[in-house]
Amino acid sequence: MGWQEINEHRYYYRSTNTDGIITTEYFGRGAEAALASHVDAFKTGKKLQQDHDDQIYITQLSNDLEQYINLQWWINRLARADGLLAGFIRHNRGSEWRQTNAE
Amino acid sequence: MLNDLLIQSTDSSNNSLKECPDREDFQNAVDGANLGDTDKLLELQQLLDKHPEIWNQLGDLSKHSVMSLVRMIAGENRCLHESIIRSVQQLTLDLSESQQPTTVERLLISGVVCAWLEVQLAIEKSTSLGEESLRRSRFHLKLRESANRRFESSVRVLQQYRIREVKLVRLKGKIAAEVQARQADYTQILAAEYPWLEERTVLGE
Repeated sequence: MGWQEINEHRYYYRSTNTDGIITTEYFGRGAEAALASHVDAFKTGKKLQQDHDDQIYITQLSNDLEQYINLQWWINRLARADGLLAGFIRHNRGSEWRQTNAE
Repeated sequence: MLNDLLIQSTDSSNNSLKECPDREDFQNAVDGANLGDTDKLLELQQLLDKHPEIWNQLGDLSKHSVMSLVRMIAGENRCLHESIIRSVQQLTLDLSESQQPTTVERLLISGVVCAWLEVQLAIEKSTSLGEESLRRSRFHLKLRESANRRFESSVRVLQQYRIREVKLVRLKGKIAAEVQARQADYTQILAAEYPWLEERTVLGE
């Protein structure tokens, strides 16, 4: 919630969400309010930095694995093509291969 | 094959699938052929004939993938790096049933090896971080699930390939018996009555 201006005075409130229940804490307008404001600003900054770092980490790892996932796709499709060209048909969503022209 | 795995590809330009057919076209041809569409089956054959390099490229890419996954798991730890390489060698050896597996089988084995490495990577990532954020934990959990799924799938594909091979060998035996009974020429009968079986032997070689 942060700073609220009431009758030309600024008061600091902190809202927290715990299991869907929002609790608001009042800090007044003195030193305690300034300290709470600084602590919250620091925590928000830290959280933003963490989000940024996580995003970079996830993107980096996903990119590193992309080529390998592409390879797996091609290997699986080529194996399928090999089966089809050998006269089989994928049955039951690929859990079984049936010979079609063996007779 | 074992030594091939140890050769680290240095030319990154060789690691992309430049000469592969279009992914969508290939998928359509595979799907159509599976529905019994003979035109699509022919198209699939032509796509593979037009891109004979695909087998080599996938082979190169699989070697590169193995090495990059090993590097991702081991990092700067040379001892761990060497241990993983030996485990990869052993796994490849265990999975190879014959001394000279076919190109398709080699690719499928390398697919299983890569998937196994991905599972190791996912386990390593999800256990090495002490105080990781909720977002990273979720990502690691998803990575582990996907890696396990891909590993199971790659093992199943290899298993299905081997079942198909056994069925084909049985069919060839049946044809040979039939040929013997009719006192005909095996290659002629194969070419006339089972052309797909004859053509298949050259696939990927």
